[in-house]
Amino acid sequence: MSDRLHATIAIGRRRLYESLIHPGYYVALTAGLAVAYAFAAGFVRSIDSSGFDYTLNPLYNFVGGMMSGAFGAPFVGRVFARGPFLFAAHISFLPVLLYLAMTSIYRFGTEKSSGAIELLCYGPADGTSYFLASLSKDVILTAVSLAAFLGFFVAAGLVENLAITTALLVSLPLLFFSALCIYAYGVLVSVISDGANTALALFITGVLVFGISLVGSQAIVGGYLQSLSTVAAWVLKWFSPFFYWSFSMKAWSNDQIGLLFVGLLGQMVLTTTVLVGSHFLLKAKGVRP
Amino acid sequence: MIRTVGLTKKYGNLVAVDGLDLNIPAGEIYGFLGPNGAGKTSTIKMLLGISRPSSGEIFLFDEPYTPERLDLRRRIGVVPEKHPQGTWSWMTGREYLELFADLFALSSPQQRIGHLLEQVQLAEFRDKRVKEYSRGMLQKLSIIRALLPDPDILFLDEPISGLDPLGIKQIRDLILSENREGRTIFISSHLLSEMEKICGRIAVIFKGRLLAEDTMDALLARLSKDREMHIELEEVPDGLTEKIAANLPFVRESACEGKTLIVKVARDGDYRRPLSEYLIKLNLIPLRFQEKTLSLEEAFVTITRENINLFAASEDSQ
Repeated sequence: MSDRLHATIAIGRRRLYESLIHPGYYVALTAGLAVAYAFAAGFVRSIDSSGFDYTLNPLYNFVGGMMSGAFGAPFVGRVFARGPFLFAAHISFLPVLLYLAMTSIYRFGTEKSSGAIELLCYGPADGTSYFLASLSKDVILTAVSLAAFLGFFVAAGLVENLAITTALLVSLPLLFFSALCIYAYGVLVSVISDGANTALALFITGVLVFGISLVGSQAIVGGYLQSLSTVAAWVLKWFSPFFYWSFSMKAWSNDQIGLLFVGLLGQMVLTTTVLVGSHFLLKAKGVRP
Repeated sequence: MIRTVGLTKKYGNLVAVDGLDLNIPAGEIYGFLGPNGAGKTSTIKMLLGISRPSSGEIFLFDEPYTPERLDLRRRIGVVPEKHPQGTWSWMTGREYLELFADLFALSSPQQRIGHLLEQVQLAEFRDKRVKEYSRGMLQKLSIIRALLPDPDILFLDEPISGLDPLGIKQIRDLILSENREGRTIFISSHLLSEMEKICGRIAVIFKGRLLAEDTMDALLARLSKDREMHIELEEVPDGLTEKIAANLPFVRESACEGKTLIVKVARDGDYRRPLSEYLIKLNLIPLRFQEKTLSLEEAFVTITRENINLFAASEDSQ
C-alpha cells in the first residue's frame, strides 16, 4: 500500500468516527428525512380522480412554480410525475449535502490555519492524502445518507402503498456523483483560500453562480449584458455540477439512457479534473497559508 | 546526517534563506539561532519537506531530499512550536498518539505508546481529552508523537517556551536522554540559556545567511577577546589596581567592585597561578576565583546586532 493511500485511510477513519460521534450529521440527516416526509405526504395529497396534479398541494405547487421558471413547466411536470419519491429524494438530500460540504471546507480552513495539516504532514502524510481522507469521509456519509433516504422511501411506499420507481433508483447515483463533484469543489476552494471563512464564502459564491447560470441569466439582465451573460453562462455550465445533474435528469425524463450516462460521465470527468487541479495547487501552495 | 548546499528560499523579491550551507553529523545536538525573520522557519520548513527550496540542495542520510520523499520523512520526528489546539482535541491523549502510530504504520503501537507515556510521566493522563491538557502536557505529547516512529533525527521548534521550570527540566532531560540514545537533535529556540545547556554546536542565522556555526566554547572564545576573572578578597587595599597594572603585564584591565577584584587577561593563556601568587605576595588571600564567560545570549547579541558585518567579513576571510 502506498504511503498516500495508507495516510488517507488512517486520517479518513478518524474523520468518519469524529463525524459519527457528533450530532451535526444526525441533525442534517433528520432535517433531510423531515423534508422527504413532507414531500412524500404532499405527493399523496396531489392525487385526485384525474391522476397526479402538483398544483393540488401547496408545497408542490410552490416548489413546482419556482422550478418551472428555471427548467420549464413540462420538465417539472415530468419529474414530479416520475414517481412519488423522485423529487423528494433530491430536495431532502440538500441539507446533508450542504452540511457535509460546508463542514469539510470549514475544517480544512481551520486546520490549515492552525498548522494541523502541517502536523499530519510530518506524520508522514501529504496535503493530498489529507483532502482525500476528508473526501472519503464525505463519500461514505453521502452513501449512508442516500441509503437511509432509500430505506425511508421504501418504508413510506409500503405504508402508503406508493411505488418505488426506477427513476428514484436512477436518481440515487446521479445525486451521489453530483455530491462528489460539489465536495471536489469544496476541496478546491479550501486549497486556494487562506482561511476557513474565505473558503466558505468562495464556496457559497460558486454555488450561487453555478445555480444562476443554470437557471438562466436572461431572467436577471437584459440587452447587451444579456448576450455577455449568456456567453458566460454557456462557458460556465461546463464547469458546473448542476449542469451535468440537470442534463442527466432531462435525459432520463426523456428516456434517453445514453445521454444519462454521458451526463454521469461528464460529472465524473469534472470531479476528477477538479481534484487533480487541487492536488497540483496544494503541492504548489503548501499546507500552510 | 543533515547537509544543505546553497539552500535558498525566495518569496518574490524577498530572499528568506540565502545560500545556506549546513552540515550536521549524526548524534549531535545542533542549536539553530536567529532573531525573528532571520530565515529559521523557512529553513526548517525546507528541511522538513514542507516547502520546496528556490535553489540549492538538501541531503538527509546522504540522500537527496525532496518533499516527495515520504520514506525519508518517516525517519524524522518533528515537534512544532505550537501544538495545534482545538483540532484533534476531542481525542484522548492515547487516541491522538494512535492516529500518528497508525500513520507511521507501527507494528506494536500500544507497547510503544505505553513506553513513551511512561517515560515522560504522562501515562496516568492517557485517557484524558487532549483539550484538557496543560501547555507542558501538550509539549510532552507532541514530543512523544515525534518519537513514535523511533526517528533518527528529531526537530524541535521552541520546545521549552511557555513551560514552567519543572517542565523545562523534564523536557531538557528528555532531549539529552534521546541524544544519548544516538538521536540527532536539531533545536530552534529563543531561550538561549537553555540552548547553552543542551547544544553541542550552535548556528546563528541572520537575514537568511549563516553568520556563525561552531561548538559553544569555540564560538564564545572567538567572540570574547579577553578572559574576565572575578576574584573575591577578604579586603581590597587602596591602590591595588595600580599595583597590578604596574607589575602584571598580562593584565589588560583591572577594577574593584566591593571586595571583588575584576581583571581582564588575554585569552591565550591560563593566568590564574601568577595572579594568585602576586596577590598572596601582597598578603591578600583569594577567597573565590571565578572566570566570567560570555553567555550565549551575549554572543548572540554580539553576532546579530553589533558585529554582523565584522563577523561576516572575518568568516569570509577565513
